Amino acid sequence: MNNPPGTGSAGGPLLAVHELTRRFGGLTAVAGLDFDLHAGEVLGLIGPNGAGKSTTFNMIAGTLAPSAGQILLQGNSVGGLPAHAMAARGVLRTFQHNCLFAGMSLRDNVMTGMHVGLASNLLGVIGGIARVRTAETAARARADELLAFVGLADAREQDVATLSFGQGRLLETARALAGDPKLILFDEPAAGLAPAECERLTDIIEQIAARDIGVLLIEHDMRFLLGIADRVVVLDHGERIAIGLPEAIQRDPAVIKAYLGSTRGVPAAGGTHA
Amino acid sequence: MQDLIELLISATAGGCIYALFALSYLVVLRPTGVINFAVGDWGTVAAFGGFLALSEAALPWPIGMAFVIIAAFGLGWLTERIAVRPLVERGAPVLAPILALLGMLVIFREAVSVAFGPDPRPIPQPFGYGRIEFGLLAASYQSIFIIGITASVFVGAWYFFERTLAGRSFEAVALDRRAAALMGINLRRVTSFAFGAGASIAALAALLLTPNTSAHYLMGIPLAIQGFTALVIGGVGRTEGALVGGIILALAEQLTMRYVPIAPGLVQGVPLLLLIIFLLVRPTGLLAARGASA
Amino acid sequence: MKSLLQAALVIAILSAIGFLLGPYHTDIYRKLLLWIALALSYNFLFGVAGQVAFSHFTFYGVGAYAIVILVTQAGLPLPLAATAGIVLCVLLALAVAIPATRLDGFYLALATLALAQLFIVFLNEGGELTGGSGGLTSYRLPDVGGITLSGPRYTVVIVLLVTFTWILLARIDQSWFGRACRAVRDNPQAAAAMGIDVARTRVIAYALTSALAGLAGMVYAFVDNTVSPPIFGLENAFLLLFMVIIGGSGSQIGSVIGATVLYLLPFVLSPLIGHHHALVFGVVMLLVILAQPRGLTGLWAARPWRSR
Repeated sequence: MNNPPGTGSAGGPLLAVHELTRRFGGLTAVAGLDFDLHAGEVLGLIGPNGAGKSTTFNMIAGTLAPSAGQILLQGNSVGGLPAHAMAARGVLRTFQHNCLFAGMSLRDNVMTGMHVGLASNLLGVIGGIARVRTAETAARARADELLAFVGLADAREQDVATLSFGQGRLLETARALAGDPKLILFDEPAAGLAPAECERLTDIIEQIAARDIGVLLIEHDMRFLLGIADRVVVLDHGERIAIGLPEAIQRDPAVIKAYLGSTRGVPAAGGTHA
Repeated sequence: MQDLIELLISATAGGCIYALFALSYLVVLRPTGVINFAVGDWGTVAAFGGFLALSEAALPWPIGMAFVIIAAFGLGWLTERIAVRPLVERGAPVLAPILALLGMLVIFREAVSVAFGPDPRPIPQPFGYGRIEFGLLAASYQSIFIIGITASVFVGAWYFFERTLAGRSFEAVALDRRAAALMGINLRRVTSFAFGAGASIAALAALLLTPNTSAHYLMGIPLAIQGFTALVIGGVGRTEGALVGGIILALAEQLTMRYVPIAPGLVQGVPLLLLIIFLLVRPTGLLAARGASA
Repeated sequence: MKSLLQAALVIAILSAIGFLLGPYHTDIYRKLLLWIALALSYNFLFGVAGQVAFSHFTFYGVGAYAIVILVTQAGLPLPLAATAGIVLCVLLALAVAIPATRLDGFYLALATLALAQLFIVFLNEGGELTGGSGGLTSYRLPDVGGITLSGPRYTVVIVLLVTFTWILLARIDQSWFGRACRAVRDNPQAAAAMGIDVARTRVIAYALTSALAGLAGMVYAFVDNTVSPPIFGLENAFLLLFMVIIGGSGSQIGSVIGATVLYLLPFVLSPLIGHHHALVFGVVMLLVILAQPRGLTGLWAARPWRSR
């Protein structure tokens, strides 16, 4: 599972990023980035502020088009596809600042995540045909399962306005899972969470990876990230300065220099939210 | 030739009225992101204020005008207090104040209709009905007056937005409300001032227009649409865009009426078609400001 | 099966009312039902899909004028004319919505505001085709399958229109498409991340509700056997918006309540305040936005005496 990049596992990587570049006017936010990610792997993407993490994330999520380079999902080029097309291909995401659908119940939020699987001819919906109704019933049951998986089963009928921030993050996770992802992108999942909630989320992410779903995390909280990632990609000024196992990354002098601008060592035990 | 020049000048004067309504939108839109369809009915209320001050009380024009414009500032301030601030402070979606302002539009219009009835009311001409003729140049006093006042308002607005700190703070609020708050810009005061100034500008436009057309309680919505069309044509990125847009719109209207052989009723369709075409073909006018505020 | 029975019962009751009323009350009842049909479809567009458009009465008018013109001037048989009218509404809706919904913000509101005004100009200046400001008069509904639909029988047609609109929109609202519309309304970015094509969802919602408005317009055309420009103007478009907001936007029952209250209120108020009920509507709508965004249905849900 922790094959070094390039060697590939049996079916090749789930996600491969080649020479990925994004320029904003004269500024190059991401420059020639390469990495790949395998099914069932948790890959962390870290770097100081302005390193290009979010830009990379947004290109893979489809909210930003790359200026150059390739994004391959199971060998198919998907770079530049819009967000909804990425989701339709099994790339689902969460948001750093929870983006829940207000005024909907938890269950409806999760069912909205099943859009791609449920979408059918509207005439069938209007006609109330049996196939549409059974799909809807099955979707409800599946939504309840997913809510149970993240521990929100009791609140499924409630309005999302009643949730705490941490519960909202869990609901976002369930909603992303509802889209039958091959790859889930987590945008700073630990941000704003209490330690107990972080542990809960770590546990959930590990279970997700165990289902052979690829997980890409961008994260500020080093302790959270190093505890969960199988491999880590470190960015600085839009370039990859290191890639490897978490333990190796912590000792990498280039990482220490870039990340801290000093020699105090990577804050393995000192993440901002720890 | 003289005929054409007179037409061009009167069209420009008409365009100035549209431009002032466009500016009224813009002054509110810049700091708040709110499209205020009630601008036309601010104008309606002010026009009837003008009727009271200039026709009923027969105040001299400068005094009556000043009185109405100051009162309109209060009206705009009150509009913001009632229909916008409670919603903004509650964190309601941006649609809520826009709908609330639609409610205010109806309230203004119907209140005027209750108070003054359905008949049009006259407003006296500040300089009578005379006109200037000088070689090829020919224009009514009123046209010259409208153009002169509008030009000075736009020079003032341009100076305010581009050259003064207070005007820049309008932009800052639009770009990033939180950053503006951190910089010590008082959001509430900027918003209040924007609505007050917007209403004053709309009032001025109504006072310039109504000596030619009379005050009528249904005058608001057409003005709101024409002002908006001017804004879309000119783009919201620049203050002078409102002026250019207003004049283009009025010229298109007047020249169509004069030279294109269609029924006079169809000429009313010209600004609407222009609005639709500009929204479809060149929607970046509005988008530029939105993009900047994102 | 149960829902079919319910629908049949509602249709039976609403139709029975139509057979009991005298001519004056029949007219009020029919127009109330038409307002309800319009409020239901406008609620889906504004309340569920979150689009502010002022064109609903324009499509009502397109439907009404289209069927009259196609039947009387072009001599088409009724079913063909009705189909052509719907197609016309959908095509016009796509022409408006595809460019307007591509962009965020209030482009749709502005474009449809202009469209609504333009439509009135077109009706007034349409010459023989639209009958100008006097509109089209003295035509009648051709017999349908040998039956003359008039009097209470035509009221049944309107009842069927309302129930059809209700059932169709309720089904869509409770489907993946209804959720997609609400998601796009609440947070387009998150909706796209769920695989929802935001622009496509908006366009479909606009075209669907506009077609329903056109259908209602076709039914309206034979209520008074006259169509004229003032009915289809902005005033009524505003009133429709107020109905949905006051009733409770996003809720079908709210739309029914809002339409009923605002349509009937002037009959109650006019002895007291003459024709100034619009002022009352404006004040009520403002109060609703400020105090209870979910309208009268929200007020009911939040009733303080409710046992928890």
